[in-house]
Amino acid sequence: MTIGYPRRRFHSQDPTLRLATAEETIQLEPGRHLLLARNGRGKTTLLKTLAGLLPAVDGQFLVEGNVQYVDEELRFDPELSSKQIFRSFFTNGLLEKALEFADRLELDVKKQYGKLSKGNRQKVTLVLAETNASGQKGQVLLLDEPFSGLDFHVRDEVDAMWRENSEDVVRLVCVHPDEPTLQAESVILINDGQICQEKVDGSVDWFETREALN
Amino acid sequence: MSLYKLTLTTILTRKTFLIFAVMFAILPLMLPLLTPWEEKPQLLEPARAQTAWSMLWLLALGWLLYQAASFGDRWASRGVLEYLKTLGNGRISQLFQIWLSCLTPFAGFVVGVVAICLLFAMPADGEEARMWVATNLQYALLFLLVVCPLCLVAIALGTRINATAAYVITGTLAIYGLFGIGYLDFFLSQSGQPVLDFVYVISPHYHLADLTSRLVFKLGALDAKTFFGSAAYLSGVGIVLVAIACSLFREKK
Repeated sequence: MTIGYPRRRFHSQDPTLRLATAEETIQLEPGRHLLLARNGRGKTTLLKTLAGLLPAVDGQFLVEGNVQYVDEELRFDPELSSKQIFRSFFTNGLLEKALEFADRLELDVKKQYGKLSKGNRQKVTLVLAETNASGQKGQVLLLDEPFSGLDFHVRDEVDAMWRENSEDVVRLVCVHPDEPTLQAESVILINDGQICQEKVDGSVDWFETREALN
Repeated sequence: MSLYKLTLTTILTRKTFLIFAVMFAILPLMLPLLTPWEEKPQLLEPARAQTAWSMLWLLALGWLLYQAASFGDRWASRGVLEYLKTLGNGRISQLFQIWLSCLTPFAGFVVGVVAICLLFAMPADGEEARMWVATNLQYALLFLLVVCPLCLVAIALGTRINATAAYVITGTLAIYGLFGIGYLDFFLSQSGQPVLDFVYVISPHYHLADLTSRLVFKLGALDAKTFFGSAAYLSGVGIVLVAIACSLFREKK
């Protein structure tokens, strides 16, 4: 499969922009998989392609399950509280679950979204994604830089939440290569226009990753 | 219906509609009293109806269309529509959810205006009262046939361009259809140019939905043929606008 941006319909002189190609079949089992690449190499494009928001330039892919693409830039109205946002998405049991997740992440759900720090806004997005994924089989979460703005304590809590709800959930997590929390089943690397998968034994070595991407 | 709830919650949290609700409760009864109504007291009741309906047009062209355009703009640029798309909410469903949430509080104002006309401006004479009720109901239906499709267009344009531009385009179309066509008709009668004639034919004749003068001068309800003709014409314009809105709407700017 090749990712990129196809030629626009009424701009026949524009070339198709090919960002990266997966030469071999890549299969992601339930668990956590990290997506690593340097800036502008196609991390977000790959996630959007898998989410069905962008067409693949070439080749095929198959996603089995309910997909959620969670953009780092996802934002809500500044005047709403997190609780109001959760209420719009969930009712009854799921709402309780969302509030429970929020409590674990130390998110003040009564505070207006516009008054939350970047990290706390990120928590709102994570709670939405995790609540949507909880209790349903066959979930595929495509998370774009979910840890940006989060402190180490919250990262550990997110890590614990993911471990508790890892059965039947595929998480493809786009993270910055310098990210210290690099635990995963496998790593998807985009380097020199190639998308490849490397199986890892629990955690990713920071220096090896850096070497591989340079 | 997450987007419907999210948008409606945002509208209700902002509470601007409360200011308008207070204005609608007071101004139709107060403003006519600021005129020299004592000279002809029987004009007081039609003046209340005129004030209430004029305020409703202002609310539709000012508040409703801007709300619609800004929600289209906001949800598209903040990634909410894209996120909901991956959760299985299709484009058309998203468009109509935002539309419904904008119209939910607005429908209350339409009901309120009809209620003001029926409670505070109803003629005493039985036949006149029957006509009054019919005219108001006809007016409400024709009004909604104009406003509802325009609201959809404002949302769809908002997802492509910024909210202010989307609002100006839709608002201008509405004002042109309500008032501009009258001027065009005047120029047409003076010059008789075929180009102007063509523009006149393809223009949206929203003035057909403005029955304020029928209320003010107590001209009675539209006869069935005229009413259904106007309703069919405005529905046709509405269908064209709905089709345009559906094709313009997109999840990401």
